[in-house]
Amino acid sequence: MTSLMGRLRRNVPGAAGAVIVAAMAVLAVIGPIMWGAEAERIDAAAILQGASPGHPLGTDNLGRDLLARVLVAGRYSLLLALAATLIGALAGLVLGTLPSVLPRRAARLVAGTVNALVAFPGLLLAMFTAVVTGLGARGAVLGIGAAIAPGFARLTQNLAATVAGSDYVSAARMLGVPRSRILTRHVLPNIAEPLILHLTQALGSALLGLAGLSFLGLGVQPPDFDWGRLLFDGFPRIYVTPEVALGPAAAIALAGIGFNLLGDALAKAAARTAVPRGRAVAPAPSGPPPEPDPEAVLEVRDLTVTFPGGASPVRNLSLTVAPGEIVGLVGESGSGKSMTAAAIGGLVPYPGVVTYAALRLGGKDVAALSDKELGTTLAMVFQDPLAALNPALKIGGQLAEVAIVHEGATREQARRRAVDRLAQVHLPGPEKRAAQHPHELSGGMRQRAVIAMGLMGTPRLIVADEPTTALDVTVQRQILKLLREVVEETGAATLFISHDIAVVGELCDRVVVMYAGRVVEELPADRLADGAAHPYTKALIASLPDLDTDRDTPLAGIPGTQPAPADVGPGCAFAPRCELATARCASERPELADLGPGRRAACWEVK
Amino acid sequence: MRTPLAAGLAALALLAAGCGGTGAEGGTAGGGTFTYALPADPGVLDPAMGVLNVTNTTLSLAYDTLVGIDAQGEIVPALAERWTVEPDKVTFTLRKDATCSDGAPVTPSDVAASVNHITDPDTKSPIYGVLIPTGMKAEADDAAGTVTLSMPKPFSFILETGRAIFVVCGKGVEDRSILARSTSGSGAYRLTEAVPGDHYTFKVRREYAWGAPGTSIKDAPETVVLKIVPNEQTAANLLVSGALNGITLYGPDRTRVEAAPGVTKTITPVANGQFFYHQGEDRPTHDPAVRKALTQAVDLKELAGIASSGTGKPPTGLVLHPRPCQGDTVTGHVPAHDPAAAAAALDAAGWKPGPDGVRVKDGKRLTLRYLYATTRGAGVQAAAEYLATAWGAIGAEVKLNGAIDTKLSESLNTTQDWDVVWLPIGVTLPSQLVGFLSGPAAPKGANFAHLSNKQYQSLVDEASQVPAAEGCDKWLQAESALFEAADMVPVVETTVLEAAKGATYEMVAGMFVTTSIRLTQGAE
Amino acid sequence: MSRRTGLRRLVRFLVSLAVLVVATFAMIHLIPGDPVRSALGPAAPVELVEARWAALGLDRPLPEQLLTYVANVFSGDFGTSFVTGEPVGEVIMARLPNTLSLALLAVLVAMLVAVPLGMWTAIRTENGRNRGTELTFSATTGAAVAVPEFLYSIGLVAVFAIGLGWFPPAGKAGAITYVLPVAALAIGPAAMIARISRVETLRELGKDYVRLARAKRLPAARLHLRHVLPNTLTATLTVGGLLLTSLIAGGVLVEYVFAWPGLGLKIVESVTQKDYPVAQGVVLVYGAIVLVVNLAVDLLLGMLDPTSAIKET
Repeated sequence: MTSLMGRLRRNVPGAAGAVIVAAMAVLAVIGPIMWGAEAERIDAAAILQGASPGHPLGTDNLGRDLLARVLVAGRYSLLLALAATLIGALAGLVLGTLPSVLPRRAARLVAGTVNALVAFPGLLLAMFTAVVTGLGARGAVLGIGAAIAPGFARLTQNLAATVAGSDYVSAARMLGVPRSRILTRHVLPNIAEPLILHLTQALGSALLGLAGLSFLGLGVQPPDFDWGRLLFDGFPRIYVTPEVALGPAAAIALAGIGFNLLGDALAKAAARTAVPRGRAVAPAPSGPPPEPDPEAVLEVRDLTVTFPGGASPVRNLSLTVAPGEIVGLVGESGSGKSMTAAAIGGLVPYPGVVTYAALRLGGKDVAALSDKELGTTLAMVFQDPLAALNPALKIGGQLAEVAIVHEGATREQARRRAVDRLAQVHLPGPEKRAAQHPHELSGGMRQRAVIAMGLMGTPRLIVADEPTTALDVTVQRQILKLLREVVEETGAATLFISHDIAVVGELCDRVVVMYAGRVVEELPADRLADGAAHPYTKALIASLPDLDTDRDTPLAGIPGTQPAPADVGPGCAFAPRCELATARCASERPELADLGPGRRAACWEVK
Repeated sequence: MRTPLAAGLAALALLAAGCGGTGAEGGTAGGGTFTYALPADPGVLDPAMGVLNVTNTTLSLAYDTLVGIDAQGEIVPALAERWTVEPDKVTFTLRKDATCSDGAPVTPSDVAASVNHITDPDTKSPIYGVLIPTGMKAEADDAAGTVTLSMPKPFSFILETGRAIFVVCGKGVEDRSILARSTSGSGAYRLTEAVPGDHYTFKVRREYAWGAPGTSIKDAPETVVLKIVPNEQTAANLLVSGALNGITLYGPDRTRVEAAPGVTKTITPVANGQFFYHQGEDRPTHDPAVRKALTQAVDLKELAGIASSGTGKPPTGLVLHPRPCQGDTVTGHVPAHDPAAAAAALDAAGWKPGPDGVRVKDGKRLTLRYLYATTRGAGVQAAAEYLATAWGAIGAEVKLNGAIDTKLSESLNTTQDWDVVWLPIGVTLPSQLVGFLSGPAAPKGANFAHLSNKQYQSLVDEASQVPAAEGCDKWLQAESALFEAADMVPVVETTVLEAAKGATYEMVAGMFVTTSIRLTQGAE
Repeated sequence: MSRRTGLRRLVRFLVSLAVLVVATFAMIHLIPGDPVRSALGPAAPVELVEARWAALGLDRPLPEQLLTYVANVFSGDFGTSFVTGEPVGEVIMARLPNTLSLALLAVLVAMLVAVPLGMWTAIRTENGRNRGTELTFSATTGAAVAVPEFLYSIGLVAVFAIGLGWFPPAGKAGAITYVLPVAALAIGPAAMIARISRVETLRELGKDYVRLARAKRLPAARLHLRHVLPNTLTATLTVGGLLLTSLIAGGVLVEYVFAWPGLGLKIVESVTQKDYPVAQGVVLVYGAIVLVVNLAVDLLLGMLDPTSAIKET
């Protein structure tokens, strides 16, 4: 909660909301004490007056000061809104959780009733309840509570259903934990936060709802008064002396705004991690750009990605990929390999800043390339093909648009090319598939479609970011085979990013190993088994019993964890986990050093 | 504020508005459209079934009555050109030239059919027993051109009944079903379009030569549109912007409209603000001394200003203007403001101050349940709070009980869970009050406050035996007897503002004087 | 949508309708007060009141009254109003179109304004960029949602009708009279939809298909309109549907201020006056509309979002 408050402080509307709500709470406490007598003083000689120095908001039908009444009414109004909200929330909570404890048939009945109630207009529900239970505060509170309850019930039901479907609840159920215990121990604690957020906003609606009932004459009755009644009484005078109605209206609106902003900010604070403020401080590029390497399709020199607060997930990274070559980029998650891919694709999210001495595609600086050139020569493949395809659009259309947008192809030409490319990636029935939506395809088919999308232009570079991780083993192999085939056919340079050194060893020509944002070793793939020099690479390989065995945690054997980008010290980032580490490793960072043809490593202990 | 929710209680205010209208200034123009705002939909248009004020206002354009009334309360000829009155019957002689909107002549049989249809139990007319007294019969003599209304026993206001009957003529006599969506009367206008909830359009009948004496239809507008505007502020906005020619205003917008340029206005008394004490055996207010003390405790002048938001007049009687019996029954008959005397009187009556300031007698606290309609606006609510304060000051504990109209009727007629009720009753004849103020008590009868004022009863009995002209003095004394016994307290005569822009018109008792409608300033 | 889901929808529709009829019937009869007495006035003789009770069938046992009512409704007879004597069917048919047109227009206007606004803000404020825009947006919409619609009505009338004289202050007569009531109804929903649209857009912008589309260097317009927009509409339309149904009944106060000949006031009146036939008829028709709107939203979503058909439970 303290961190929640901390985030709140950085959110101006949220802070304003908190201030308003706090002010309302203070008003509720001191209002009747400070102005109670003034609010009750009848003055038959001064009825129905407009604003004057003595009565800034005018007077009512009994000559009572309206400013004092507005201030005094705060306590009652807020208490009523609170009561209505709590009643509604409680009723909703009970209705919403009942289906998860009741037997199946009864549960369905309750759920059906909730659905019918949600369809029932809230105002009518409130009116009926208020009229049936009698005019006045009790009726109004019950009415608004009744109007709020179905929404709460629906929310609770949805949230509870989500939690009930989760693994730990299934596990608890299999262990024979009683349903009521599952509800109190597992379901309720996990849905409490969104419910509390909804409660804050419901408070604002309850205030408005109570005012609406007052407007219809079904609200608080004399001699009690809340803002709704003051508004209702003043409303007929709005064209004559508007201040008498605008005073209470402003109070209602202000309180509503306060609750809304606060609820909003709480929801936001709960929902997402804070974005660090300020601008990223990027290192100045060192010297003039080096001469282009005529052999390389992709040439990266001193690539650094920096985020505000000094975190740099990628540091001074350099690599080249030649035509037809597949370079594997390996490392644990958090090593910066995906950020490298993003930087090459120009996809680093705000507020990240990308700097480099050279970032060239086909010998040209990427910044100088047109959208057309980039869009047709760079192909990207992501981990989850379902997420990478737009669920709302047909496969064919998603493929075709590159040709339409960048090459001015007609719809029909583009479609035909899309079908052709789908055939090229061995998607069965390409015509039919092109007319389908992503959810109608299997995982492997989707990844083929994504690869086909990259083939729509004339790809010179393919960046594949963990393209097989989300797929099952047999499909993985097919996709790897396809990638190899595509590279051979197109001669494109390929950067293959993976945490799985076994896959990389199988597919790639060359391997680049990253640790904590830096390249620690580079070597030919066929030397992986015997030529790895860096202790990290060795550890990676050593953790594999056999190159053909599937494994998810390649570094199970290495103690410790990789440091976060912001925590990297001046020395070798791997030193704390390294068996060979010396005092020098901790204070001084080793540069990449040539060890032979195509082999480089950054380690003091490698000679 | 007057809300549409008030419609339920409108049955009590049987005929609102005395006589009103707007003074004619400037030139007049024939043709054109006169647009008037109704606060609610008139609903059913069958004259036998209509009970709301707005329905009567609407029907008054298309239907004539046997007789009319002028601003002084004098009965004047309408469809009937002359009449003879006896204690239990009245014979009207109809004028010969009146025709129905479908061209048929208006016959005495039509008039008799209109009355007998209402009194037929199968009709279940809501105005039977209210506007048309129970037991009335009508007989026509088409040859003589006369129709006779008779009662089983003497009825003072039998002539005035002629004001309350909208005469259905022509096709509507045979086929009442057509009256739901059209009009079949002899009035100056006929309904040409009905869009319920929005507007009703009427076209003039230039052949209409049987209007109020000395008036003509020649310069009246071609079309009258009644527009439903439930919100008074909206109506005021429309009038000021020129989209309406006439409205009736109850609320705070009166000052704004009065100040607007080009608006002519007339202030018209409309109903009484008043309250009743419940006199059931078990109630503290059964004791006349308590009732008098409670009345004395209140500054009625201040209360009048509060209840009417400063727009009321001192009340002078219980019957709506124009009254068949003229005179002031109130002044000097209501116990005067004197809180000290009030406290002393309560002491004397055995109500001694208790430990918390609330008076106690025989272990019973002096608690008053005050009932009022929440739909009658902020003034009535404020009056409730004012009374609670005033009575609290002399040691009575007041529980305010605001109710919507249906609940109020139920409390009055059935549950009786009140001690004081704020209840305007709009009646056009003193006789219409008798059932409420005497006779069998609720829940069996309509005597909701359990009144049993011997003096009132005997005066009413005497007055009832003779026609109004002779009995009026007694009718007036009977009213005063109620105030002297503090059976009820008349507080204020509330008024409305009849505002007109680009037109002039007159209304009497909530009904249009159709021949008086004129457009001015060359309005379209 | 498969035939099975269609059938299930139909069954659900009928069950909801039945629940609605019974619930309304029960609730109306729970309201205290005698409808006949309140319609006839306290002066009416007891015999007349009793006769009318019998004529209206109110002296019969409640289950029997319910059956009679249901039977009549199925034959298209909604009864006649206790208060005004008008046939309920006619009352509803005369007013319903006015209420529907107002609510539909308001939601339409709200969508047309709010969806682009929400998207634009989301794009501008993606990943915490342009905090000023984000603050302004959330403060403005947060405030706009908290102000009751009758205050908007009054404000709009005061400024644009009374002050500037651009629009008529009230009434329904031609297109121009729609402007102010539609605006008054639309502001709150627009603020709400804009917020939802922004959140949804932000969510979509973070997804891989957007990254891929960006990698393809699609023009911004194509990226946002063709790729992002359809995926945000599911939530937006769902909320729009809910708002529409709530506006149909919730426009009462706006109808009141603008003297709009709609159904809203009739609901309030009939409930407080215990005008059973009108209240039941209105609520029944209303319930049917809500169900139809929900169905329409579902169908629309089915067309826009191909995955919703398989999500259907």
